[in-house]
Amino acid sequence: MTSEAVISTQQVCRRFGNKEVLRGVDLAVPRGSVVGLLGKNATGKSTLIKCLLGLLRIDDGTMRVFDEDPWWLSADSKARLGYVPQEVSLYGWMRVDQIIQYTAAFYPRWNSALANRLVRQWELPPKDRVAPLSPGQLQKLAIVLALGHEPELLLLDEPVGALDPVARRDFLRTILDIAGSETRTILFSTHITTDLERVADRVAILRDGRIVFHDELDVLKDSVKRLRITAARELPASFAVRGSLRMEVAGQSALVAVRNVGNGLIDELRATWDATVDVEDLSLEDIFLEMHHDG
Amino acid sequence: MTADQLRQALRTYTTQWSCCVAGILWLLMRFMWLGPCGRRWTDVPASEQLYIIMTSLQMFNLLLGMMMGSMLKLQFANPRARLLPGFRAAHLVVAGAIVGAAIAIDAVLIPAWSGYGAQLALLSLTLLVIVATAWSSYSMNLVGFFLIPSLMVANVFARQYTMGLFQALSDSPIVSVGIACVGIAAMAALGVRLWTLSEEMPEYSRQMPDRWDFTSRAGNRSWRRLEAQMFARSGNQSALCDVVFRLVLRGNTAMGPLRRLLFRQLAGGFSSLSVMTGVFVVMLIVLWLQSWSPQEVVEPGQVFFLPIFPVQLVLGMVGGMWLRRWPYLAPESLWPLGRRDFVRDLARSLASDMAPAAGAHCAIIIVWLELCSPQGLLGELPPWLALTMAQYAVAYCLMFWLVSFRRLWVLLLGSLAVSVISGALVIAALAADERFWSPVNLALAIFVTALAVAVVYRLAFRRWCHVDLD
Repeated sequence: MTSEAVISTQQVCRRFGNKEVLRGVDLAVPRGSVVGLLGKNATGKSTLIKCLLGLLRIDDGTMRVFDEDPWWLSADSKARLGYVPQEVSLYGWMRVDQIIQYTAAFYPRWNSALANRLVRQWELPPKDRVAPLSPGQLQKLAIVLALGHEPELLLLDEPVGALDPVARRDFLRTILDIAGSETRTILFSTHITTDLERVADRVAILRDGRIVFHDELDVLKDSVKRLRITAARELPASFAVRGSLRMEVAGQSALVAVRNVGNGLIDELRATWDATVDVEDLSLEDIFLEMHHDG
Repeated sequence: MTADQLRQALRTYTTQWSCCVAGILWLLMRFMWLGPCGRRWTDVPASEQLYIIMTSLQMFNLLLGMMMGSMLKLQFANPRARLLPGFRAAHLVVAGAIVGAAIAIDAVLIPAWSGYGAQLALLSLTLLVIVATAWSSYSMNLVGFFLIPSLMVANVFARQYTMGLFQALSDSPIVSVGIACVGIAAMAALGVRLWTLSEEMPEYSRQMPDRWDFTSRAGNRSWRRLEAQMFARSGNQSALCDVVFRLVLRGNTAMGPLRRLLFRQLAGGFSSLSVMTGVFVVMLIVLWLQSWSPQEVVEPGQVFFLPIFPVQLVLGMVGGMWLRRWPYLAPESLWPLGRRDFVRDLARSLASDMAPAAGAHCAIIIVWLELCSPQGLLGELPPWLALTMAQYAVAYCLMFWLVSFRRLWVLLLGSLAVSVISGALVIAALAADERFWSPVNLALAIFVTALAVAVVYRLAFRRWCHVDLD
């Protein structure tokens, strides 16, 4: 992975009427990385991706894709860009093979062998019309169209939502193949955290219109832990742990999800409360839940 | 069925602004022709008044019927219609009450001078038009969906037939009663159909999307569903499309502006040809109907129809096409092309959508004025052609600007503005004497048109360069 950023945003804001969806997004995606974009519903993931594609204008801040303003992206840069939307819009009257030929005609470099292989692999009916395809088949077709020109930057907005488990696994394998190249960059949003753990090397978490975490996946997993504390005496109502994301206290026991766990914190808890402290690893889904716990 | 259920059923109409607008327009039209304004209208002969009343009232009944049909579909083609206790009864009662109220308002407002026979004829027609349109709109039956509005439009331009039909109805109240009975039976049949509506019935999944707001994700989803059903039914009928596709994709030539234009036409299924056919057919039908009227005087319908109405038709059809195209613009904008080139492509694409229809329109004007129209009745050919072409130039730029808003109401208001401007132009041209077409005036007219075209096009281009595409 090289350090050069393919995507960089600074203080990006986007409003829809009075509703501010993006409130100062800072994000730099290095070339060759696979970044998973996580966030609850309506936190602005799709909006951010659409702004990066130049489909939506930003109200404030700066945004660069391939070192260009995405709104005025040149033809050359667009030829290096692939996108799979959450809601697929394809010409219904065309047949599957026709829409592939049609899209291929616009790209100076189109890998027909790759497109044909994916069509076969995902069992898409080449002679069927697009309109009556199932949502899953449409999604597969959209992925074929986004991958056919072997883009350097692939933006995927919940691309596997309509796929069956087999197709999802195939898709992830394809993504891993693409990610094998050091020049390819992928940014994808999803709610399926297990998929993200399988392919992403970095995670960006969007909350309330801001990126609250962006780093390597391992860093996130190393930094957020669950502490199971059992004290010698009853824990008071004022019991608090530095950096806690969520805490459950019952008598002498406490279950605390903590960010930035270090040996210093654990030693301090042991000494202060005369307690035993067990440290548990969390899955990405648990981390996400702990980080979004509002209770 | 409780009062609250009825109130909630009524709320489905009052909380939807398109229903409110349709209702307000319907009422306004009644009060304009039948209320205090209409009663002061003494200088127009009674037969003329009846014609205007009948035409305008039925036009707005059409709107009411379409609104009712699509609302009933929205309410009943849904699992909750069968699952919620009292749902069907409450919604049917409210729908029946709305139609009943419409008839009652007409019964009160239709003036006594029109005579008992005419009153009865108007009321029976009101009921029939509302119910027939509601049926077509509910079942998404394309024949009914287009046939009824077409008959209404034709009626504007073929006054003698309308008046003849209306006179016959007024003279024999028994026929009016028969029509009213047919209307009531059709309404009852619709009620039964709705009560028993299930997923196995063909119309269940044929949903009319909310086309007032083309930005709505749900609306676009339902439009795609409708499109999917249409193609699922068409089977191999689209073999012609495949042939065209092979021809267009043949060869591996570079993607220049012309080839891209061809590709965009291909993506739209060459719908510009259907617009052209629509204009051609409607013009031929209306002109043929008009050719049966006495030709000693120029009919107002003829003057309005020849240069103006087809432009409105093109605006409506092309506008609708472009609103449906909107969801595809986002992925198209990602093809390797800078934004300004993309917008230029869109401008060319719109021009290519309108050009065949404009060509057909001009061709018919030439043939009609040169070969069919009685000598001198409608004036010389060049002014008519100039007016028509100037209208298309302005309409094209306005349309390019209007569709960028992606709102049906913007499109409707814009088209209305074009009608007003066009109407004023035609009236000015007809009222003027020969000096109107003097070289100086003509040059001035060309200059003003060119200036308007340039300004509006620039505005539209600028807007397209800055508009969100999703």
